[in-house]
Amino acid sequence: MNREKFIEQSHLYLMNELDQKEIIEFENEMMENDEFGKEFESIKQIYNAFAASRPAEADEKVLASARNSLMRVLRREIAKPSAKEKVIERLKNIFVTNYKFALGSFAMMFVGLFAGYLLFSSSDMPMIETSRSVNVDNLGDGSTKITNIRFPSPFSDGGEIEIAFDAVKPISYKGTAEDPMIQKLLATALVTQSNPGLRLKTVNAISSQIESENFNHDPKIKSSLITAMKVDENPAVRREALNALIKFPFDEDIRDAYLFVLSNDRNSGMRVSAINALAELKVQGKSLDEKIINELNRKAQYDESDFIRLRAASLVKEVN
Amino acid sequence: MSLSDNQLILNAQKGDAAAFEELLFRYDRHVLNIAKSFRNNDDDAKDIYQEVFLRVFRGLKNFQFKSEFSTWLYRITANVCITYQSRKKQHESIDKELGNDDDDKTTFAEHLPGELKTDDTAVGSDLSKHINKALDTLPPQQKIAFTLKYYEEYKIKEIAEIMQCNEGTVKRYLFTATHKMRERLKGVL
Repeated sequence: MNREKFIEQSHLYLMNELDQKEIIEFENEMMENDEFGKEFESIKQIYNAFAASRPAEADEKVLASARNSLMRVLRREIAKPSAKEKVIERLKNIFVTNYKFALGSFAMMFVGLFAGYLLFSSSDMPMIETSRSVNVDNLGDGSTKITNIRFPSPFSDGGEIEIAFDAVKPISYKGTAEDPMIQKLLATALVTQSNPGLRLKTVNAISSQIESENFNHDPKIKSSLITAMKVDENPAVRREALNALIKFPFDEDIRDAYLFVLSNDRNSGMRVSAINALAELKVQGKSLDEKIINELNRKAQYDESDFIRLRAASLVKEVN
Repeated sequence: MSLSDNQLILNAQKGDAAAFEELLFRYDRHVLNIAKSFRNNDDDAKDIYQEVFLRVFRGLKNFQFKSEFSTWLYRITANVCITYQSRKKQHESIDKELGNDDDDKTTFAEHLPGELKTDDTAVGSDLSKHINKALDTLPPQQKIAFTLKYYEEYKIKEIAEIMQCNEGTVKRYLFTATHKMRERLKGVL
């Protein structure tokens, strides 16, 4: 047995970790070798020191104190909410304490929006139409939209309840160009629609019908075309209105409208169209009155566009 | 007739506080003694004791009877001792950095001058004091192995089971610890 192995066996011997056979073998080795014997005594000394310095066991007082402290901690531990309870508590706090006002307001707003949706949505219209001009029975089909309900006198003395509201009903109407209703609708659309595309379509619809033999136009058609030609913000609509007006029998209203365009329109193309429209009168053999001549003279001198000045001068010369 | 550990555990797992208390009283004295041997200080021992049984209380509902309750309990004790020692060392080093170290400022080497003879110093409580000081310098794993072996007289096999390592590792801890202790106590012994 070498020294290293002997030292290891010495430790195990002193730790009482060797079996009977190993003990006999180790003791024999120690007795046969003096050096190993001395080494063993040295190791034994430290083990004796360990045994002598072994800490005293905890006394009853310390144990009782430790138990008391532990019981207190365990009671707190038992009383402590579990993870699941903590989550529930936190959710409860969110909904009941910290954010209750905000969430309450939000909930009220949501309820309000939902009630508004139910009340006013076109698909689920409630049966509340009682005015003479509105058919109560048709409210459910979603064709009429009720808005801005008001109660001017909800509890009058006579027991009557007054309800005011706006009923908006989409209507589809079909008819020929001669139909006065169609003409009135077209005239209204031309001056009230905000969509320039729709206004243009309206002008074109009117224009396509003017030349038909049966077209007996409503005065509103002409006045709406004049208005469109003079003030519509869209140049294409103004131009189409002018082109449509050319097809109407010439009169003073149309004349004044052409002169207005010639005098005021910022778009030189429109002014050119207006001169051309006046020139067309000459071609048709109609005389140009003084009012027209004066405006042409003025344009021949002062218009900013060379073409318009030349065209106006040429037309005046032709008349003279 | 007293109930077995396993029966007490089952009852405790169902929420029987008395069963847990009985289980506690069967083993707590020994746990406190291990803690006391490890730290050689009553207050530290009580802290370790409390931490051990708090962990047992929390972990008992998941105990699956794959080992003896006592083995599980002493394993927790060993772990808490190791953690406690590491934590204590960290606090001590922070205290030293902050200049709050109230301990004796003399080093261990100063305590044990080479010329000192055994008869001069290693008597009575002085020897214990030096051994405890030397013991405190060991890494926690070596110290708990040392405590369980020399003070609590566990077999190496049992220590291996408690520390969840093989016997060879425990032997290495013990030999290294003993060697270091022997070196550090040369002037004393």
